[in-house]
Amino acid sequence: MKFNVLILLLFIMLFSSCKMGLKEFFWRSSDVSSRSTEITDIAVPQTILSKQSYKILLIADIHYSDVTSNPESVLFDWLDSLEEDEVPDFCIVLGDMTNYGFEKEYTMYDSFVSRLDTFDIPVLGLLGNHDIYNSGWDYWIKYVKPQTAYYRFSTPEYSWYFLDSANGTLGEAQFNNLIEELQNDKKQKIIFSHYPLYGDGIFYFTLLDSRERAKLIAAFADNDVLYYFAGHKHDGGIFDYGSFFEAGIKAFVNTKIEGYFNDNGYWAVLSVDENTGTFSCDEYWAQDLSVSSIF
Amino acid sequence: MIMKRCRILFILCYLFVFLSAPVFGVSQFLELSAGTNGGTGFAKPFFSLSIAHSVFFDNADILGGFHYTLGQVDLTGQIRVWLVKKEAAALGFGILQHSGWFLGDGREHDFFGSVHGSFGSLARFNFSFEASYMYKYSVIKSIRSYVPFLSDKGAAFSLKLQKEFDSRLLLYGGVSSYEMFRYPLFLMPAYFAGLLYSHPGGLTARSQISVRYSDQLTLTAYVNYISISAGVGCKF
Repeated sequence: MKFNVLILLLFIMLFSSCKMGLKEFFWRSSDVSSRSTEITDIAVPQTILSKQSYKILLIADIHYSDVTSNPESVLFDWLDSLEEDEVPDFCIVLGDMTNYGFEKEYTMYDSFVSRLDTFDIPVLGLLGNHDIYNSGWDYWIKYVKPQTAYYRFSTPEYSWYFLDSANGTLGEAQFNNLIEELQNDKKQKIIFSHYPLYGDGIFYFTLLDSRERAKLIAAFADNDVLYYFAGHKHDGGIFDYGSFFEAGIKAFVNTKIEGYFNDNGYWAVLSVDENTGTFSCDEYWAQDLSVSSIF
Repeated sequence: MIMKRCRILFILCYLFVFLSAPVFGVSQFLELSAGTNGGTGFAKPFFSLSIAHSVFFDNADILGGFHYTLGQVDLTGQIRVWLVKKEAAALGFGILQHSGWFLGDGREHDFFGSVHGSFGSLARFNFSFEASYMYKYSVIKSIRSYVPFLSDKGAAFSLKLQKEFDSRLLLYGGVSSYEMFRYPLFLMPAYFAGLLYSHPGGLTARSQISVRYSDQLTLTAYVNYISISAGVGCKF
């Protein structure tokens, strides 16, 4: 009997102390249906207001914590080495800024954003699944601009959508609102989300409700979506749907698992020319700053 | 084309079994049920209707069913073969096919190869499991001219506990990564619990509640849907 009680206590301690927030395994106070119901229109980043061509720094899955590392110093050295006209005009972080959703991790992210600010690179964030561990949403809205998880801005030729997929689904309200907004928006669209739609077919790291996925792909194909960018799956993944293209951005976190990901992180730069309607995206490997084209 | 032939073959086999079952004197179970899917998943809450039919041979079960809910129609067929079938333990393998039509947007087809087992008598306590390899292919109308289909390969599982009271009342519950008419990718589990009453004359009544989570193993627990259903059936 005593042994059973001991096992039970150990089990409870394990659940309640795990940094991943296992005590919230069945229920979390904040979810997508309460966070993201209607799209918020935000201002275009000031740094591209008068530009027709610009560069966007794309970073995914930083996972700030006391048990992870990332090639932050390599990134800043690289930014230092660029000519003024090569420096990205703004940055999008595609979710999972933190590993466990703790405030301390959000302050680490905040320091990173402040340092990017010294290069005159404003940062917009997407909500990832790790960011809402341990009720991290409360800190997300405190530390991550633009303080909303479902938003959009418009440039002369394009609309830029940022989705809240941190729960692995858009939820009914966001889903219906998104479909309506896509249909009413006559511009071509670029979409950012933490979760991939399909990637290259890795079943665990994509939106898991195949019916939701099918309806979203159909809506994107029917409503002038050009690109869908995602994080979450640390080794990236691309897929061409014909009418639009999905690009998974590789993780910025240093993942050192022998035989799987045994390297430094990555970042990417998306170059946009609104005059010619051309897009190109290159990824940079922090290990040796080698560049390869995503599209 | 191969998939289409498989489906036709499956339907023909099923019809053969359904029509020939009375000749062989095997037992059958037919159930009509209605339910509602509430919640905050991407789909609007709506009622659902389903009909399920099972045929039980000595060493094999054949199950099939039809389901309708807002914007979706599903058909599922399953064959389970029991290699060992005793009161205390049973072990076998099986195949399953599900087709779901997303009215207006496309369709998906799921194929399972499974092993399944059952331990313990219903009167005391019974545990059963099913572990499957899953192959899904989805056809999306809007991209079909460029991408004929998307394919997903994965795993699926189901764990169930049940206990019978007075040979009439069966209480069951468990967790499963799929349901008879719902096949998300791994892992959007549904926790379910239900009660089945069987009248000695063969009529049955059942009620069930399922709580469906979204992507629970990334620890962003989110209750996608709560489904409540009730059904009436008959054993013959």
